[in-house]
Amino acid sequence: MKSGVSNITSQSEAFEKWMVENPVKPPCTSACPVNADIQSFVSLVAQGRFRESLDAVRERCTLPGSLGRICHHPCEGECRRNDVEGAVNIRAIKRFAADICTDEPHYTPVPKTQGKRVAIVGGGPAGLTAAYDLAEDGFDVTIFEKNDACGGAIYVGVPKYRLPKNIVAWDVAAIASLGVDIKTNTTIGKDIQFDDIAKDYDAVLVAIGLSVSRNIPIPGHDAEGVLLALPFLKEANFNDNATVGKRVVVIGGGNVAFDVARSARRLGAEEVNLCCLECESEIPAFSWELEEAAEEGIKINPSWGPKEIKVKDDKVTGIVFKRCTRVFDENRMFNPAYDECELLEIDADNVIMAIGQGADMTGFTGTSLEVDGRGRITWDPATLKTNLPNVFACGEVVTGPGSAVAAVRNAHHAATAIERFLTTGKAEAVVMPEPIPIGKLPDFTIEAITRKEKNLVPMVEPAERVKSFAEVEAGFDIQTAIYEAQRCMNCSRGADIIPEKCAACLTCVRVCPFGAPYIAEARVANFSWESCQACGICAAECPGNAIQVAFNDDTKINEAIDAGTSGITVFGCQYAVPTVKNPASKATPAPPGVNMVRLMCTSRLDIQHLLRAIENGVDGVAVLACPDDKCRYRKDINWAEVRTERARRIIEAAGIGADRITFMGSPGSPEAFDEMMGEFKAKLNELGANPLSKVLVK
Amino acid sequence: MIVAEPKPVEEIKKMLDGYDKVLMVGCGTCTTVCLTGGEREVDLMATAVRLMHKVEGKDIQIGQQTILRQCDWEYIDELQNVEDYQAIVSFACGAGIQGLARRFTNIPVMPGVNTNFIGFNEEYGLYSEQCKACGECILDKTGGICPVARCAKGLLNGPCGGTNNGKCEISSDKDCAWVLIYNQLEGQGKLDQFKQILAPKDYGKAGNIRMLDLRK
Amino acid sequence: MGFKEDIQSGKFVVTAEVGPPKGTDITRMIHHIKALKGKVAALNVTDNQSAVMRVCTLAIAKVLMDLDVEPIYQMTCRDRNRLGLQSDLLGAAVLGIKNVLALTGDHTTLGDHKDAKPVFDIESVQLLQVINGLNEGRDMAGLELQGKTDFFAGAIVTPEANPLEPQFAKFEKKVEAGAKFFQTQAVYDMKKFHNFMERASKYNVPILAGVLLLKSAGMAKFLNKFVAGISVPDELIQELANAEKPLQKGIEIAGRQIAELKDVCAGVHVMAIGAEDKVPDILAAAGL
Repeated sequence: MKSGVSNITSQSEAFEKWMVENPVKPPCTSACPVNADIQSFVSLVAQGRFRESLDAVRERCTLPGSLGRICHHPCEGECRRNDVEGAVNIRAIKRFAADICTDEPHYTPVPKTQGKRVAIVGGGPAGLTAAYDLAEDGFDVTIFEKNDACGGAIYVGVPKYRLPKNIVAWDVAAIASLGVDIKTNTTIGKDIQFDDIAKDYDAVLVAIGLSVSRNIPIPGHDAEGVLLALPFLKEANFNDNATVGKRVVVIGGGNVAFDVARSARRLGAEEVNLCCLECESEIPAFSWELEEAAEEGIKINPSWGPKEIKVKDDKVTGIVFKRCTRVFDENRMFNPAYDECELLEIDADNVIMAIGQGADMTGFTGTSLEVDGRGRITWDPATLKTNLPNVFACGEVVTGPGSAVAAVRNAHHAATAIERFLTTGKAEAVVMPEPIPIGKLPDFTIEAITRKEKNLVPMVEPAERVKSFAEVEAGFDIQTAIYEAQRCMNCSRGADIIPEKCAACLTCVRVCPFGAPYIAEARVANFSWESCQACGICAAECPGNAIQVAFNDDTKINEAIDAGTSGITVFGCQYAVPTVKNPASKATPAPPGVNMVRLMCTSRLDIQHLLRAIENGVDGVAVLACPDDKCRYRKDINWAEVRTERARRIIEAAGIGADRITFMGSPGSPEAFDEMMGEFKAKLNELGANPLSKVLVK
Repeated sequence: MIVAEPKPVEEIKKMLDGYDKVLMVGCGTCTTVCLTGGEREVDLMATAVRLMHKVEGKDIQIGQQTILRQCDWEYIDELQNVEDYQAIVSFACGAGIQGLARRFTNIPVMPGVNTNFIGFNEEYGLYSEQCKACGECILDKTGGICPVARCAKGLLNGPCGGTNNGKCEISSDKDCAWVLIYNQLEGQGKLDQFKQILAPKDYGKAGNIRMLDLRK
Repeated sequence: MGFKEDIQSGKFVVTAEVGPPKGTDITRMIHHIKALKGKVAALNVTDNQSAVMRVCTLAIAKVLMDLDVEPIYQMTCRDRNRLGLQSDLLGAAVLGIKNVLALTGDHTTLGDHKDAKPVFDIESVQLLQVINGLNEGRDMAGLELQGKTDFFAGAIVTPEANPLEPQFAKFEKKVEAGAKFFQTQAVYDMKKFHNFMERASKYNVPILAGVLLLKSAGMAKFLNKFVAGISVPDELIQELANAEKPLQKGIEIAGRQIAELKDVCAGVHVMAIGAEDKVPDILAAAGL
């Protein structure tokens, strides 16, 4: 793993450990196809630790720049802030973490300690993800990519206005930097033979995706002017001189159809009709695609099936549709029915078929890889193995069409299977741990949560959008990203009881602003994780030391405190000092001589923490207040201030001087923080050195 | 519950003058519940005393143990290696402190808290005295409100002349128990109880060295 | 004729009070006593008033008698337990003291020895019962006395107490416990006092209304703010504030009040608090 050293040897092991340690995960992580540790990377952005956030994103979401733009973000749909005032804009935060770091260096190559070679056929999202995981695990990975660059569908197919190509290249470069050998312009069966690869490499992963667009065998389907989606999109992406007729009809209702229609608009089509079998509510494309397409003047015609293409002089002049009365039958099988009496004719210069893709298996015919009668690879979804002992497959080529992030998930699965196969010699079923989503927020907790309005991602105006292939969505600026990230409630990272220490005293029940603790039947306190906001007030007040806060336990806090043995130790909530001076820096640069101890919330601050810092010999301890308008927690009592006061009384009694511990306002900016530290230092200079200073000990 | 308050750390430090191996013992029942003598407070006091010694350039070794109750032999006997220490600070109520003093007769036992009263937890960190343990309960006659504990003078037959707008003469933020009693009885339609003259209490019961033997 | 006889004869009775000094010099107090001699039926001798330690009541009561002035011996329950109270009562009887006013007493925390242990072994209602018992020849333990007492026992009541109901219920208890007369906390609101008297008169116990000399508007305000059961109406405060000589005005007001009270209750108890020598002026102003 890039960040942090541990004795965990593989990516999959790290993921599994994280999942097993506490299978209850926030709903965003549970909904995320790759189960990304969303609150970690969101929290790091909230703290201004952007580079660390990016690294955290990449652990599971291997293409942060690209997925930060095109992921369909099911995480946001499940975000518990939906019940408060609106989901955290997770995708935009992810995109921000990538964008802010684009000028940062990538990684240094991971030593190839495993001594095993893996070939990956296909450099799309699936292949790249598997390469990432396996390279991180120390395998020697080579990607064979038929195009001139990696990215697969998101490189060739996804239009530039949604995903600029330099972003894809940046994502690919990050993976390459781990030491992955990428061989582009290399077509299987032509430039290199599959059977040779299967023989030369310890393991092979086939992740070639679905790269061939299908046509519909209706009259006129081969006329001039009938185009297929992927070639059209490729043209639009890479040929600056590409054009299209004034009147375009797109057939299909998936996301690709919308990409085609919107690209056609940008290429100059004035009248774009999109016709699909599905009725309006069944259109498979994402709702925002429909909205944005409509904004761009594209007419969406649901419930129409193509009947015949009108041709004159071998050229398309229009298309006739028949009313589609049903797409799926009672068994939910694709089985459309039509009413031939109701017809629709649209004049068109181009008809573009965007009805789905198939795999390009040409390079595999006649090889030892088993392919069934319908052209599909023989594949076991549990082991991810093909018929060959060392050949695995993943992604759309075996799972069928899906989202990019779903392919990424399947690739993690495949990488795990390959890693186990290569380390144990056995290819066994790999079970990906499934998180248990934490439940909904109870009403009384919703009431208690401080409202923070959601930020929408800025979009270019529709009239402006259709003029070019410039990116339609702008990213967050630093302040907005930090604000938005601070809206995250850190669901499920809350308090837990040590039953044998609990005196059932009700202190936690009384101090919790969110109604999370309750006295369970066994007469010990327990916590509703649904309600817990992980602020830590209870842990710092529990008279029996019977509460642990998973995200903010004493061991970690004490480690951070012990990092300071002179100068000033500062306690603040994780958001107390925004670090925007050096956006991509790995850690918050505190002023010299200042040791920052970040708590989830200063309500977690324990008097012991303050005294520990003093005992370590620091000259001063400052506690930063949270600005109320930014605080996620409702605080009727300023706990940090109350506890600071008691610590002050104790060190005064000890003759150390109360003023060595101080409760400060919120700095608001790093500059203000520097200034506050300067003033505090001056005050501490007047007091002289801490009598417990280790420097003074003879 | 028995309510106690933390002693100032200076006072504890002074008690421990001359000792460099001290055991601080928390009590897991009443004083834990009233935020005064549980593991957290023991931790805090130990840290504070250690700090104070360090400032003076002295070393002190402070052991910390918290047991469920210090008013029961069996729990006291869960304490470990007590003989290694020169002094004990107990964070239990007076009964628990003396429990330790009775068990460990060779080792001085110091009070870590001031025991205040038998009280009710009004809310987080707020306690009110409710019972004087007089041994002669009259709550049946006073609407369930004890004038012995809650009237500053322990009057038995109505408010004194110092009652003012329902508050006590000793402090305007304390309720006059007799106004509370009057209102309670009035609400219950039992004002006739208020009119009965209650005889002086038998302080012979409360004043001697009390033992209770329920086995008899 | 003494205080008891005066009051029982239906005569409008006036009492006043002297506060024992803090220390052994009693010359100023004697000056006050002499000023009041012959002008009042009896003089209350307060008992560590306001929980401030002073000369004991018993000694001063004896000084009064030596000056031929009849004392009303105030006894609070704050400083003595039931042994102390009974033995002092027996002592008082031996000295020839006839009148006892039974009080609970201000709390120690209001006085000058705030850290004292307050006793309150018994309280005013029970003390009245104790006095009755002694009059009948037995102590609280039910033991027979060698020679019984013959006290004329009184108690106090606060007619303007807020709330009045619990206070009134206690008044009833005091009557039941054997109070033969009442002196009241200072009354200013005549309407309230009328209402009180209407209810109290059916118990057939003489009530001496408290009249407290207001020396200035500031004092009136202080009383309103800090003394339970006293509420000086705004008009009176205004009157004092406007007066050129507030003390003179206070004397005039007190006189006016006494004149008004003449037809309402059995007498008045005049509290001059350090200006006892002005009591004759007040009585003159009242036309007595």
